[in-house]
Amino acid sequence: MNNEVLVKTVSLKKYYEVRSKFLKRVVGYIKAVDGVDLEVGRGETVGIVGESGSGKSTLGLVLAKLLQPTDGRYLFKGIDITRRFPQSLRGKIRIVFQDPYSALNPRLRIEDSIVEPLIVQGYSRREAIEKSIESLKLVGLNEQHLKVYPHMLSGGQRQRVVIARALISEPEFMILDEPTSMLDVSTQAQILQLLKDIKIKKKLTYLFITHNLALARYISDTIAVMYAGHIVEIGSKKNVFSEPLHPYTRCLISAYPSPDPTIDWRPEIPEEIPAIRFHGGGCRYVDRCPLKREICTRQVPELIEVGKDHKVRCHLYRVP
Amino acid sequence: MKPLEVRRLSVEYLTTRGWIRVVDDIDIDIDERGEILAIVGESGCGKSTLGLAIAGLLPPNARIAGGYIRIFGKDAATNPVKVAVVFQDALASLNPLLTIGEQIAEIYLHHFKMTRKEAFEETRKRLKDVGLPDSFVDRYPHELSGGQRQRVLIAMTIAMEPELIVADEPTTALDVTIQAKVLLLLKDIVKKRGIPMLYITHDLALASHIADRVAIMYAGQVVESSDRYSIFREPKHPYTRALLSSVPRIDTDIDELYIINGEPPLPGSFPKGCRFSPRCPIAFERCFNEEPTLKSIAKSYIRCHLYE
Repeated sequence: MNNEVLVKTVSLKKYYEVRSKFLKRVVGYIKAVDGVDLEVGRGETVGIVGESGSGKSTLGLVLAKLLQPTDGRYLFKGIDITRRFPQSLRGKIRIVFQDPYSALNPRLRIEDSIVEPLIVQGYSRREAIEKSIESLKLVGLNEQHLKVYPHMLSGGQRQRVVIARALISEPEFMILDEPTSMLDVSTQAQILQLLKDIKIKKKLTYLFITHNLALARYISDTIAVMYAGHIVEIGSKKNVFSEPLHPYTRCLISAYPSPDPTIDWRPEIPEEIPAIRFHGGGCRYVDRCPLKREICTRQVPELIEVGKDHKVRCHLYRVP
Repeated sequence: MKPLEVRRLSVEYLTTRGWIRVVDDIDIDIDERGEILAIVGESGCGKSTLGLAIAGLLPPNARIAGGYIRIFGKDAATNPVKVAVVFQDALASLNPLLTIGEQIAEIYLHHFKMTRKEAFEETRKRLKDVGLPDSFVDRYPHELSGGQRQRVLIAMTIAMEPELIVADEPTTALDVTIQAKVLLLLKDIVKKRGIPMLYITHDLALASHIADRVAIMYAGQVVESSDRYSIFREPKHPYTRALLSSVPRIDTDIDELYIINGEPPLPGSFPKGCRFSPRCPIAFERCFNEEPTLKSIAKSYIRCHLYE
């Protein structure tokens, strides 16, 4: 891995407006992504881990340029693409979603889902078909799969088609939003291996969004844990798993057992709260935190560096 | 008497192609009260159909084509048995128009013929059992989080005083932290009350910590069943071994996952011979021609020609 930074965000924010039922006036904001600073090196895989509502998927959509950020900056290869997205970078950032069943139009043959967009982009039909076949071969399918409809394929094959379609524009940065969570374990292993292989072959950089820590541990180089729109801990896989610092990271790691009944499983999980409360000041995790102190309710902690490749957003680790 | 004894059970569904066998020749047992048996398998292996058959909830287009289910010695086909089911989707299992209290109290009013006052008293006790406050009696399902709804379902389940609980992927729709709490609560409750439970899941890691015994299903059949220690420490069937090494682990770094080639077969097109043979790395000639039977080896049961 070299040191070139491919993707960089500075204090990236995405707020959703909350409107009143009557008159539809804006009465507040849901801060789905609230000031995310992220650097992704070329060739790196960053795993974004969090539970539902943490903002991980919204972050993915913003980075895929499918949502306009509310504030902050987004740089790709050093070019600011927060507001504008230059023609030359089109297709360099692609996203693959969780559900391969809804990602493909059930009334179109695979051919039409993959080849047509290329023709629109100005390729001749023959070139487009050649490129499609090449891409399908890369994901372990072949030209026969061009003629079938999505319902004739299994879930794993559909996800392969979706990946092939994403690869066709020769992307450099791929956002993978829970790409295997709808698949069976044996199919999941195949897709994960495929993603690892094409990453090397095509020199890709991944942002892997998942709620499954075991999966993140397997696929990522760097792990970022999100809670309520904030990155609460980020670091190399080794640091985060061998020495988790944030109380929420520890809670997440303890929540899922290893498949070994001889290892005692004692999850340390605080009370659940129906919805994350957005108060003015203070740490977002304070309502659930077992180690909270007085300062936690008053002041939002900063993301501070606690070691090489390890940052945490928690008052417990503040330098006095 | 055994809480659950299933022998040579087969279940078929009527489709446009005729009767298709989804569950085929299943033998499973729960030997003691409070014992948890996990049924682990991938989608389409028949684990949910097995659960529905035991609960007596098979849809009209399904039939039991062979074998029997005995619950505390009574044949489930001819005797009334009390089996409670906890499904994945708690919101679909609760009536959105009734308060939580009404829904739990209903069980006491109708099944146990209590007065309204007694019924609500019991209801409060059940809410306490699952760690919810009294005030939830007046709440509606939409006011609760996913984990709380699943707790309400567990409260309703124990209110019924069932002879057996079937929990079909009870926590799949929940976040990991909530999942851990709900599962451990369920385990605690069935152990304390001595209710036998069938826990249906696709998650091996969870099964290894929740269940006492584990049965692995593949293509409608049980391929291996054993106590939880043996199955995870010394898996014998090639499918069990492959499954265990194809899932990322949270406690160690794995360089490469084991890959099972191909896809699980669908009901109606199960391969000849051993059903795992086309994907098995060590299949030999006999595997492709002759179907293995479930054999008892020490405390385990294995359906594989390697162990004969």
